[in-house]
Amino acid sequence: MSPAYAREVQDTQEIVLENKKVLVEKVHLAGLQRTKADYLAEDVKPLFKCESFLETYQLSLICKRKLMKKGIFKEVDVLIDTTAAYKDSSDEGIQVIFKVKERGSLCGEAKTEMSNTEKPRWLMRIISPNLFGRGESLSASFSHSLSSSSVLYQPTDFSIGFTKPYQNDANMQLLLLQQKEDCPWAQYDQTFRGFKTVFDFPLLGNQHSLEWQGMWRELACSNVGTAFEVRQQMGHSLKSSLLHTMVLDRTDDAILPKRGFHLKLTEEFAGLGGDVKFIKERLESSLHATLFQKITLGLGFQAGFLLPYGTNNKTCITDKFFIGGPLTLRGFETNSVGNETCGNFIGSNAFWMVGGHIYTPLPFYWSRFGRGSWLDNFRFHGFVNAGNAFDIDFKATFASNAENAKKDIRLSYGFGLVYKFMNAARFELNFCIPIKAQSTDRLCDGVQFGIGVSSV
Amino acid sequence: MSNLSFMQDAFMCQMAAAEPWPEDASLFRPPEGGQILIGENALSLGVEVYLRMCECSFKVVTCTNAEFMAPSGKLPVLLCGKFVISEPTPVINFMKQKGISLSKDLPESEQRDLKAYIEMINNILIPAELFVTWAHEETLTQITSVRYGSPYPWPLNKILCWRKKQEMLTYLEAVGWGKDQRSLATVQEELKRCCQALAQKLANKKFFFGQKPTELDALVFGHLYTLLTTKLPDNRMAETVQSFQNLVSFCKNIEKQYFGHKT
Repeated sequence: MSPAYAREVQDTQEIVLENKKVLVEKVHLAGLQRTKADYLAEDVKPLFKCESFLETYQLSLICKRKLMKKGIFKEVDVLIDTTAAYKDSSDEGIQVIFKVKERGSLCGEAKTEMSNTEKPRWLMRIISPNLFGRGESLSASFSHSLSSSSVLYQPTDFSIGFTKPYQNDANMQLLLLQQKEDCPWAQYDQTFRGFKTVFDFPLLGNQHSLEWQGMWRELACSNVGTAFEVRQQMGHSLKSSLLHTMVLDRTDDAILPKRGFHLKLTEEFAGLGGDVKFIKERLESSLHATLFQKITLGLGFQAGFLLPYGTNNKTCITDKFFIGGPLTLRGFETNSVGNETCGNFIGSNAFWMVGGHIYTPLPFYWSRFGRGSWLDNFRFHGFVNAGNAFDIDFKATFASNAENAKKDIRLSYGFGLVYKFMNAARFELNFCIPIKAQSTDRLCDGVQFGIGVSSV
Repeated sequence: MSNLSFMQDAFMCQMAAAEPWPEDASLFRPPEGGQILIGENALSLGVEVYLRMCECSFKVVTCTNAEFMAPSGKLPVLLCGKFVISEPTPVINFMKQKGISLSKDLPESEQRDLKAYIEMINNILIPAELFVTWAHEETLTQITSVRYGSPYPWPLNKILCWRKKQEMLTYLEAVGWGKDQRSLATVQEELKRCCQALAQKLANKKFFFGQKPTELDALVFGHLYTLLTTKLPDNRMAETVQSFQNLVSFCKNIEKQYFGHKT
C-alpha cells in the first residue's frame, strides 16, 4: 500500500470502490528479465480502457490468467495503486502493477500422459520455456508407452520441438520425433520417425491447424504367427502429407460436457514426395443436452474414408481405419472388428460409428450432485453403440456403397461408470453386451475398461 | 513369449508334416535387375534351384520388401500353405519334415560329408559375398548403395542403406571378416581355397554325389553362378571361380537342366 493511498484511507473513513470512476494511467510489468515487453503488451493493453475500479479489478485478474497461460511465468501478482506519487497525475489516476517471476531458463517435468490411440505413457521433458524472450520454447521429451512389451524404463519415443506463439492464440510448432507403437490386433510393430510443422490459428471462432509431416514408417512383424497378408506389407515407406484440422467446439467441458456440440474435421493429403499416396477424410462430432439439470443425453458420430491414388493404388495397413475399443465401439476389443485374415485385423478404407448415451449422477448421490465435490466427476451411463468398417469403392455407385455400409452393422449396448480424470482423460468401466457381430470380430462380452480422451 | 514360440515351433513341425505340398507355394525375392545384391541373389537362386530339383511346384514372386517379410530378416522367403520360412537351411529342414529330401538315399558317411560341405560354403562363401558387397569401398559406392536404396525415395534410400551397412559391418566384424581383419586379397584367397575343395570333390562327376543332385549342388550353384554372372567393379571374385573349369561347366549344366527356358 502506497503512503498516498494509506493517507486517503485515514482521511476518509469509507470509500465505495465499486463504482468509483478511475483512469488507468500506467500499467507496469515488473520483474521481466529475459521476456520482451512487446510480447506481453497486447495482453495488458485493454486495461487502459477501464473506467470503473471494479472493471479494472476484474480485467486485471483476466490479464493475470492470460499471462500465466503463456507458461513462461512461475508467479504473477497484481497490485492496483493510485498514481498520486507521480507529478501531473489526475485525481482519478490509478496504476496496475503486475509483478511476475519468470520460470528458469531450463525446466524439467515428468508426468503420465493419456491419448486415445494408446495406453498411458510416462513422459520426461526438458524444456526451455522462453528461449528468445517472446515465449518461444524448445523442448526435448522421452516417453514410453505402458503397453509396450520392451523394458519399462527404456524410452521408446523421443521428440524435440520448437514452439513459437503469435497473437490471438496462434502458434507455430516444429517437431522432430520418433514414435513406436505395438499393434497387437495385426501382430506387428510400427516405428515412425520424422518431422512435423504445425501452424495453429483461430478463424471465425473456430480453431484450425495446418500441418505438414514427413514420416519414415518402419513396420515389422512382432510374431512368427503374423498373417501373410500383413507380413507382405512390412518394410519401409515414406509419407509426406499435408493435414488440415478444423475444430468447432461449443461444449462446456472437454471430457464430460453437459451441453453444446463439438465437430472436428480432418483432411489429409499424402503424396507430396514420398511413396505413399492417399486422401483421407475424417469427421468426429458430438451433441449433448441436459434435462432437469442432472440427466445428460449425448449423441456421437464418427466417420471417415480413405482414397488411394497413384500407380499401385494400394494402402498400407498403418493408414487404414480400424474400429472397436472400450471408448468407441464398446463391447469389441481394440481395433478388432472388420476385415480379418488368420486372426489378424487388416483394416478397411471407410468406417462409421454412432453412440447414444444417457448420463446420470451416481445412484444415491442425486441430491448432492453439482455442488463441486470430487464425486461430481463420476457419472453413471447407459449406452448404445453401432458401427461398421467397410471398403468403399469409388468406381461403384453411391447406392451400392451405401448398401456396403449398411451390411453387417455391429451393435452393442450396456451400462457403466464414467470418470473424468483431472480434465484430461476419461475412464470408463462398462458392462457391455454386443448383440450384432461377425464371427471373426473379437468380442468383449462383459466388463470392459478403457482410458482415453475422446469417445463416441 | 519364448516358451510359447517353442511350442508353436513344435506344433508347426507336426502340422508341416501332415499337410500336402500346396498348389500356390511362392518364393519371394527382390527383383533381379535393379535391387538385389550378390549375397541375396546367391541364396535366392540356391533355394529356387533346390525347389526345382525337388520337383515341387511353386512360383517366384519378386517384391521390393522381401527382406522385411522374412521372419529372420534374410532372403529368400518361402510361403508354403500357412508357413513362412526364410533362408536356405530352414527351408531345407522344412522340406525334410515334409518328407522331401534330395539326400535321403545317400549312405551315412556321404550325408556327413554333405553337411560339412554345406557348412563350408556357409562359413566362407556367404561372408565373402557380404565382404565384397559392404566392406569393399568401390563396390559399396558404385553398386551396393545404388541398388539397395533403389526402391525408396530420397532420403529413405540413403538412410536404409547406411543402416544396413552398419549392421553388416558389425556382423562381419563378429565373424572375423571385418574391414580391418581382411582385405579383398585375403578374401580372394579364402574363395580360392573353398573352390579348390569343391572342385576336388566334384572332379569329373555330373553332381557332387554322383548322378543325382543334392542340397549341396543347389546351394553351390546359387553362389557360384551369381559370382560368375554379376559384374562388379573389381572382378577378381569371378576370375577366381572361372579358373576352376569343372565348376564352371557344373554351373552351365545345372542352368541348362533346370533353367532351360532362361538361356
